[in-house]
Amino acid sequence: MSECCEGSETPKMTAALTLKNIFSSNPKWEPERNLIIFTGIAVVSLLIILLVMSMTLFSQIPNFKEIYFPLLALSAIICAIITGCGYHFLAYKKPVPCSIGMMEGMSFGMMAGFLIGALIGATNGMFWGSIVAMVASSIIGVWAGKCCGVMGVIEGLMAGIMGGTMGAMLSVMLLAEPLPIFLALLTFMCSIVLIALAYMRIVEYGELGTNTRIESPISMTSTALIFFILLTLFMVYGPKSGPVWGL
Amino acid sequence: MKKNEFMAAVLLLFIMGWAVLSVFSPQVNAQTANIAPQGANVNAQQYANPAAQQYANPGETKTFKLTVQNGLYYPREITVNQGDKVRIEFDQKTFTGCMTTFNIYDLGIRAYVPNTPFVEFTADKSGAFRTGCNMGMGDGRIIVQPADGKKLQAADASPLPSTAGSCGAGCGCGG
Repeated sequence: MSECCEGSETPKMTAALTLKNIFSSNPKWEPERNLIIFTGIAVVSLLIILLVMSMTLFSQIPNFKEIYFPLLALSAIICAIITGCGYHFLAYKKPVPCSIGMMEGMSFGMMAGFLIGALIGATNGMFWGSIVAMVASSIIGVWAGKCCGVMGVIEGLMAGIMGGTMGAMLSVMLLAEPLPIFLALLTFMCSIVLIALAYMRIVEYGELGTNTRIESPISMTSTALIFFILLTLFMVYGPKSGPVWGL
Repeated sequence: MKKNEFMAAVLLLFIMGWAVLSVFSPQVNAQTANIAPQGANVNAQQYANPAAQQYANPGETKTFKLTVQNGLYYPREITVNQGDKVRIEFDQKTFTGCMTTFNIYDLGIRAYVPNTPFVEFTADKSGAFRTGCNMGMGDGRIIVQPADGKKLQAADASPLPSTAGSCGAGCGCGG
């Protein structure tokens, strides 16, 4: 990951140098540093809200801690990471070439679809997992890809359809296996891809710089919270089809 | 206040109100969650053990042992006569991945194999009925010969292939 793509006009930026810069006190890298901190705040906030909900709202649901809690904790982390990556993407307001827009749409749509599909597929079955994840991740993919026009939009749409159905399918196939371990690993790997996507932006466009105004942690946490609550309510109270996790 | 912050605040208030209500009326909460008092949800009950719940019949039954090899059910076909009681026992260790679900689609029989050692039913309806997992793999068949002695049509009675396709058994998942 040390070479720039062909045709890029920005200077070479290695992953190690980027990490070193982000965690230094260099003011040029403050937006990236803040985005990481805000994402962390969102994760902690969502986990606290989940804890409160599990002690009150979900306390009457039998086996909630064994069946739903690990999956909902993962969904809290996923919502925060997807939101954080989305805000990083929003912070760049430069016109982008088609190849970058396609990469944005594809990576965002596919990773969001995989994660949402796998989670809903586990708790609500393959039908509902596929439907919800396909729709949600297609919207995310199109939103991310539209920065460069129709190619990015189509790429985002395709990734959403593919990721949504594949995620749900994988969960259903692994129902007889230790599914939460797989989902934790899947979350980790998808997070790596989203972080790599953020790194790609830095390589392609350069750092955000001191003039960039990023959203407040409240705004980012609010967006993550909306996703998280909708996802949680659907996973727990939504319709179910076929075999689901925790039978 | 921005739109997203307003929406999040509304959702949070809604959840908090619901949480407070659920503390005072826990029964309502459990019912809303589609959860039975014993701990299984409606969906789980359907898949938990259909053999015991729906198809247990006293008297003589024709028993078959079903295994999965290379993505296909063996025996490939199960032939019975109309009116027979049929018991299909699963070789559970061979049912892995998406094959853990078993369906006789047109008879409405479905099972989650790790929780269900067998299914039983009465073959009331004659014809050829496809069996498979939730993704259409397995590709087996149950042939119920009519009680009046007539033979099934050629299309129904034609033998199934003994090997899977190039992509598992044709569901597209490669499993």
